[in-house]
Parts: sequence; structure tokens; C-alpha cells
Amino acid sequence: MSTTTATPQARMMRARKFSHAWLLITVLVIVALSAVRVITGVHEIDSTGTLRAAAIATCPILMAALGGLWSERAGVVNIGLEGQMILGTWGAAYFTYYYDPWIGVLGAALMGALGGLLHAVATVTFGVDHIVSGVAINIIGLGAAEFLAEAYFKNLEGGGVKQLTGLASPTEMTIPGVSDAAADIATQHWFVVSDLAAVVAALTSRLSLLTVLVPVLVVASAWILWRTAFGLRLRSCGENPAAAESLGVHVYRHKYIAVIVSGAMAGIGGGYLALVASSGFTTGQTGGRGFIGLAAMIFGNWRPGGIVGGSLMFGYTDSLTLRSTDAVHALLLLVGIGLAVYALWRLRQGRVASAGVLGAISVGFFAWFLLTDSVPREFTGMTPYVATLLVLAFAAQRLRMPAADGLRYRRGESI
Amino acid sequence: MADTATTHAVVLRDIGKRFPGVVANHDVDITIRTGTVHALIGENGAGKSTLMKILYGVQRPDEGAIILGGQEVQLHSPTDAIAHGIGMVFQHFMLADNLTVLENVVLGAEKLHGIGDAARKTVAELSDRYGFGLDPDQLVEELGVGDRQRIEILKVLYRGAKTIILDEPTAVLVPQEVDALFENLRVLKEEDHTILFISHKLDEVLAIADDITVMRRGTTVGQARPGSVTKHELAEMMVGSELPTPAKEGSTVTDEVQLELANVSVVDPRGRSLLTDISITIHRGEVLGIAGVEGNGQAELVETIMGIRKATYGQVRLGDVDITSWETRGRREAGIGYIPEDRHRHGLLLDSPLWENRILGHQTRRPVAKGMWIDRSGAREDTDRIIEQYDVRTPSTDTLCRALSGGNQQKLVVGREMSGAPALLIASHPTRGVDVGAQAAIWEHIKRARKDGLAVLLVSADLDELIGLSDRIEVLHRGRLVAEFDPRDVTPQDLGAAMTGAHEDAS
Ligand SMILES: Nc1ncnc2c1ncn2[C@@H]1O[C@H](COP(=O)(O)OP(=O)(O)OP(=O)(O)O)[C@@H](O)[C@H]1O
Ligand SMILES: [Mg+2]
Repeated sequence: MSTTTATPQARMMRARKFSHAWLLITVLVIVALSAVRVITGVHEIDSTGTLRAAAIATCPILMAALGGLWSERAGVVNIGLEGQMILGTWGAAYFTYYYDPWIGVLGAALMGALGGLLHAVATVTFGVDHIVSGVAINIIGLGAAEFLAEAYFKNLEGGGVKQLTGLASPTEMTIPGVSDAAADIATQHWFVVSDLAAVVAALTSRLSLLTVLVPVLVVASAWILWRTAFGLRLRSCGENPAAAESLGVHVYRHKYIAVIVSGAMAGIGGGYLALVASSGFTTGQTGGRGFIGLAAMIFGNWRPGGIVGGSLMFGYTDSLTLRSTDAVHALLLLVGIGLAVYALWRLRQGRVASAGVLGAISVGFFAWFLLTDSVPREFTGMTPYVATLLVLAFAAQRLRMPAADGLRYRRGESI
Repeated sequence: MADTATTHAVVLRDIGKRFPGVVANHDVDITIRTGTVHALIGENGAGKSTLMKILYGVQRPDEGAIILGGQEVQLHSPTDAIAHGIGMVFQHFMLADNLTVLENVVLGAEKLHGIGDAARKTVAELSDRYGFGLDPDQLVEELGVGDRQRIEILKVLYRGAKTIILDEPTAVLVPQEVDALFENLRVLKEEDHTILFISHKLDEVLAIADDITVMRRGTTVGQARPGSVTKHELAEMMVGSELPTPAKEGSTVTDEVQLELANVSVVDPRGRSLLTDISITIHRGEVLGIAGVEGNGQAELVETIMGIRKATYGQVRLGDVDITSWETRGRREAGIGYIPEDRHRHGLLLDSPLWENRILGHQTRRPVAKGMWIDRSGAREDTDRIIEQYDVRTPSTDTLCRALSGGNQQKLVVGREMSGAPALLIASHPTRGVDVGAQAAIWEHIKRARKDGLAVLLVSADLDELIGLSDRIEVLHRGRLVAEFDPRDVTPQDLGAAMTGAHEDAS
């Protein structure tokens, strides 16, 4: 009857094509990285150490992004992720000090969830503008953590008014033979093989179990949100709450749950910073990662796979800045290649104008790479944001946020 | 009392509901027998939808009692109503665009078949049984009003509610689809379901209803049985006075071309052909009717003319100007009026007052703008003119659009699009949801403008409207024009056959 009847098979084909695309992108990234490494001779860009650092930098960002996903899928913009993360860092420190690191992780989740609850009360029950409430939560989170640190950590061993060091970390694991062998191959600097070995080595030596928990939470969240009835109801609240209500969905309840879970996820991200990324709590240790997580979520188009990609990109560049200025310079070439590939892809789609602009920018990066020997450190920090801006500018038509995201919803008013 | 009550699925007693400035319902008394189809009719703003929302727990009555199966109940939310076995199709779509058909249907009823393959199969089966042709995995966003309406109906059928409220479910369905729906309502009735049916199409009401209740100005004013009442009598009960009989008039078609589409084709980004080789001309003073089952390219045709979509091939000419590459605003300024198929999605800002809605689409023109400034008093005055001429029932021009009844919102849109003497009117279901009286009035407005040279492209599911208003009818099927008819000697049966492609198969 309609002109558009795709068969289930066609749908499945499309889904399979989609996962093929991800595979292809991953392979392309590895090959490009390897090529850049061989061409420039800067092996630091994907050494075992760099990749380990990148994984550790990625996790907190990913947790914040995951928190953003939960809340925005239910239609609540949670710009308070940063504040909830900060609460998480304190919670992790406090509970780890008195109990053990895993209770500490729970404590981080709990503190973050409290921040989420506050946001839910403000936005869902009282209909406060989501941004206003989020900003307030960031301010409250920072203030509360400073106050609590001073009140509880000052007189502890390793503690001070702004910190608590010497905390125990969650268990780390090393897979004996594999780890060493892979590290060995990685230092051979073979094309592609060594790069893959570096990935394996990074994942098999001194891997914190909390790092393992993060992807588990991502997969679990994706499964809950897209494969369960509860997830469908939650997402429907972000798309059209009036329709959901008319079908008997408790919109307020689902929004509450979503925002509280969101806070808990961000809190765990904060806990990760205090327990794994560093060995203790300091005030201000989140350094805006909550906001970066939000950007990663937008970059990832409000989808789990996308936010993993976005977080990896942010985490990688973040770790690289701290390690080597040479690597940062080599990165220019990588960005240039990336943009060139993207430009070609746009060209194939017949979008000549945007392909042209992208191509020009890519040429700019190549020129920059060839004409200079080093990059001011501040610039690398900018790379992910520039990349996000580019993606937003060129792919904005395809980004799709939940239709009722950020809108005030009052029961019964809009039916 | 007790035993009669048990055979009454729903009794509404002395229901009253007030909104700021309006009494939507007062002293409403209705008794609905179990296992019947009960039709509720009445002019726009009579309070039908409000009453049904009260029964569905969306709105709380200010006074009165709701008695379900002999038991007085308090309904605080749809959840309560659903627990009592009530399901409702709302007058305006309640769908999440970014979810699939399947997700929209199973939402809230996941307990029945889950949300996976079992549910997909059930939805596909239901869709086939009703001839809806819906793909469970398609995003609702990609669908037009016809498919959306079908999903809404599927939603209640899927739930298997005992008492089903249908608030104007047939407004955009073609007769064959209405017949299929009625077939199934009869089956449901046999199985002891109770159906409450609202429609402005009196033929439908007479065809399906066992009892009819008429509402006017917020209260029930009469009861009728289909066997003992005519369409005309019903209409008079509704409006409270005699209906004007439409005057027959001669053709006003000139030979001056107003709109010309030359070999227009539209291909979507995935390479599917939405419109193929469409060539039409509409002259000044002519109404061209487009017949077809929703989803066969009507929306694409209209959007191509409005510039919302760009033609992949071919040319669009307004008068003797090529407007193929023009933006929508330019086209509107050049004198194209546009009544969209879905007033909520494309026609109105529901949370803005009427006068602001009057400005939409005219924001660069008098009387609602002066140079680069919005002319508020001009907009208000002109809104008053529309309210008066099109009989929009509203407390004031400052009322939010959301507070208007569906039919009155439609009248406002029609009034706005007829403002400023357009040269060409693109009208998709222009009388969707308006009562018989207002429908006649809108037709009268269009005819008068036609006499002054207005060219009209009319897309409608209402064959009487198509035949009554058009000078020529083209049939659209799978994105192609497959047949042309002269309305003076076409029967709804012929049209119906051509619309489903029987015509094509025969040739
Ligand atoms: N949310 C609201 N706020 C204020 N007034 C409202 C609201 N909903 C309905 N009304 C008013 O109540 C009256 C009855 O509206 P209702 O929608 O029930 O009419 P209806 O009989 O369904 O008309 P139609 O045939 O046009 O759909 C109208 O005057 C309308 O303006
Ligand atoms: Mg109504």
C-alpha cells in the first residue's frame, strides 16, 4: 500500500552492512595509524604505553557520555554530568578509605546518583530549565566536594583539605605469557602487526578490573535501552512523552530513573579518576571531563557505538598531549589523512561542496605537518574539539537527538 | 438498576468540564450498551474529544460520574483507564517519530508479546489482516498521514481493549480502508467489544453505528438510531439549523496556465523513485483533484510544489516563471497557499496564540508584517477576520492554539492560507475534521476564490469532496499518474478501482 515496503531481509542486510562499516572504520584507523607511525618514525603514537594511557583517559569520558545517553534518551539534558562526576571522585575516596575500592566504586555511583536525583527533582518535578539546573548542579557538586573534603579528609592519613592520597586501587590483572610476548612484538615496529600487538599488550598487562567494567556497563546499557520493554518506555519519554503517557507509561518515573542512573554513571567515571587514573582524590581532578563526555555523546549521535568512538578519540588525544610532543606532530598527518578519506567519501556521495571544504582543510593539515617540526602543546588539546566541530558542521543533518530532549514536560498538558 | 447497568459498558452521568473561558462539557449524559458501536457526533467544538479524554483519564471532569460495567470509577490517568480495558485513538496523532512502527505499537503493551520477534509477527499479521501494508521496522518519521492513522488504529487493536474509543479515525482514510476497518469493528462487536466512534462523515456513522448521540455546545442534545433517521436530519440536529444546499455552478476554468509540472520525478537518497514523470497543468479558476490511497506520492507531490522537497528531474512553473529551484518562502510570497495534511506537524505552533499562528508563512507580508517588523495589531485584526469568516470557535485571538478543538484549528489554517488572495492553493485534506456545516462553508470559500481566478490542487481522501469540488481528477498510484477522470461522470466506484491499481492491472 505504501511505496516503501522494505522486507525484513532488507532490514537485516542493512544492519549487517552497518556493522561491516564499523569494522571497516576500525581497520582503516589501525592501518592509517600504522602508516603514519612508519612514515614519521614516531613510534610513541601507538606504543603500548600510549595505548594504556589512552584507555585510562577514555574510561572516565566514556562513563560521563554513557550517563548523558541515559538521561537524554529519556528527554532530560544533563549538563550537570561534571558536577556528578566531582561528587563521584569524593565518594570513591571516602568509601575506599574506610572500606575497599569496590565499595568505593559503589560510593562513587551513589554520590553521582544523588546529584542525578537533585537534577531529576528540579527538572522533572519542578519543571526547571534543564540547562539552568545542570549548571547549578555543577556548581553545587564542586562546592560540596570541596566542603566534604575539608570536613572529612583533613585529619586522615594521606589526607588534606583538598586531597586524599594513597588509596587502594581495584584489582589489576596481567595475563602472563601473552602480555610479554605482545609487548615484545610491539617493540619490533612492524607495519600493522606491531600496532595490533601494542593493543593486545595494553589490554593484557596491569589492566584494572574497573577498566573492564566500563565496556560491560556500555553493553549492558545498550541492551537495556534498546532490547527491553523498560528501555523502550524510557526512550519513548525522550521522543514523545505525551504519547507515552497516553499509553500508560509513567513518564515521570522513567525520567527519574534515567537521570539517577545517569548521575550514577558519571559518578563511576569520577570514581575511576580517583582510583585508577590517579592514586587518590584531589579537588578539581575532573578537569571538565563531564563536558567532554557530553561532547562525545553528541559526536556519537546519541548511540552507544558512537559514544564509544567519540570517547576513544577524546581519550586518545588527551593521553597523547601528556606524553610526547613528537607524537602530537605526527598526529597532524593522521588528521590530514582522516579528513582526506572523509572528503573522498563525501565526494562519492555526490556532496561536492562539503568534500571540497574538507579536502582543503585536509591539505592544510598536510602542509602544517610538512612545514613545521613541532606543534604547540595547547593545539593538541584542541584537536578533538576541532574534530567535533567539523563532524557537527558536516554531518549535522544526520545527527538525531531525541525529539523531546530538553523540553519541559507536564503531565496532561499536551494531550 | 444494577442489572441494567451490567449490560452497559459505559455510563457517563452529568459530566461537566470547564476550561478558561469555555464550558467544554456540561450535563452530559450518555449510556453505552455493551457490544455496540456508539457514534458520537456534533459540530466542531461541541466537546466530543474532551468527553472522550475524560473517559480515557487524560482529563479530570469537574463534576459528574463515570460508571464502567456498573461500577463508579475514578480515572486519574490513562493507566487507570487502560486497567479498565479502555483503549483510545486520539484525534491528533500520538506517535514518536524517531521510533519504528513496531515500537510505537507495542509501547505500553509489552507484556502481551514482548518487543521482539513475537511482537513483530503479531503486528505484521494484524497489518495484513486489515490491509494496512505497514512495515513494522520502518521509522514513523518517514510515513504520511494515512500510514500514521493506520498505526494509531493498530495500536488499539493490538491491545485488544474491551472498550475502544475512536476519535475521527477515518478522516484521511479512503473508502476501501474505511470498509475494511468497519468489517473488523463488526467482528470486534460480535466478540462483545464496545466501540465509541466519532466522525463528521455522516454516511459512515449511519453505516456502522447501533446508537447515535448528538452533542451541541458542550452537552448531549439528542439520540438517534440509524434506521430511523436520515443524514439530513442528523446534520440539522448537530448544527441546530438547516444546512445550506450547495449551489450548482458552471465551470470557471480559464485557459491561462497557473501551475505547470513538466516531467517531474523525485528520487530519494536511497535511490527509490517516489514520483515518476508527473506532468500536470492547472489553469486559473480550475480545481485539479488528486485521488489516491495515502502514501502513493501525494505528500511528495505537494512538497515538491511547495519547495520542501526538490524535484530530481523536471520543471515546476508558476504562471510563466520557472520556480524549480526556488525556496519555499519565495514560492509562498509568489502567491502559493498551502494547507498541509497534518495541521499539528506542519501547520501550527500549538503553544502559541492564534494571532502568532496567523503570521506563520506570511511573515514578510502585509497585514501581519510591516517591513522587517511584525505588525501585532494588524495580525490580531486579521485573525479576528478569519475567526469571523471561517467561524473559528475560540474565546479570543490570544488563546493558545492547543486549546482549540481539532476542527477549529483546521478552520484557522484554511483561513490563513486563503488570506492575501493566493494565486494557487495547495490543499491536502482541507476539510479534515471539520463538521458538515463548516465543510460546506470552506467549499463555498474555495469556490468563490476560484471564480476570481484561484487555481487549486486538491488532495483528499473524501471522494465526495473530490468529485464535488474538482474540475478534473487525476489518480496517483505508486508515484505515477495512472488515470484521469471527469468528475461529472465518474462514480466513487470507478475512482476507488483506479486508486488501488485495478485500472493499471486491467490495461
Ligand atoms: N486544553 C484545553 N484548554 C482550553 N480549552 C479547551 C481545551 N481543550 C478543549 N478546549 C475547548 O473545549 C471545547 C470543546 O473542544 P473539543 O476538542 O472537545 O471539541 P470537539 O467536539 O472534539 O470538536 P472537533 O469536532 O473540532 O474535534 C472547545 O471550545 C475547545 O476550545
Ligand atoms: Mg475533537
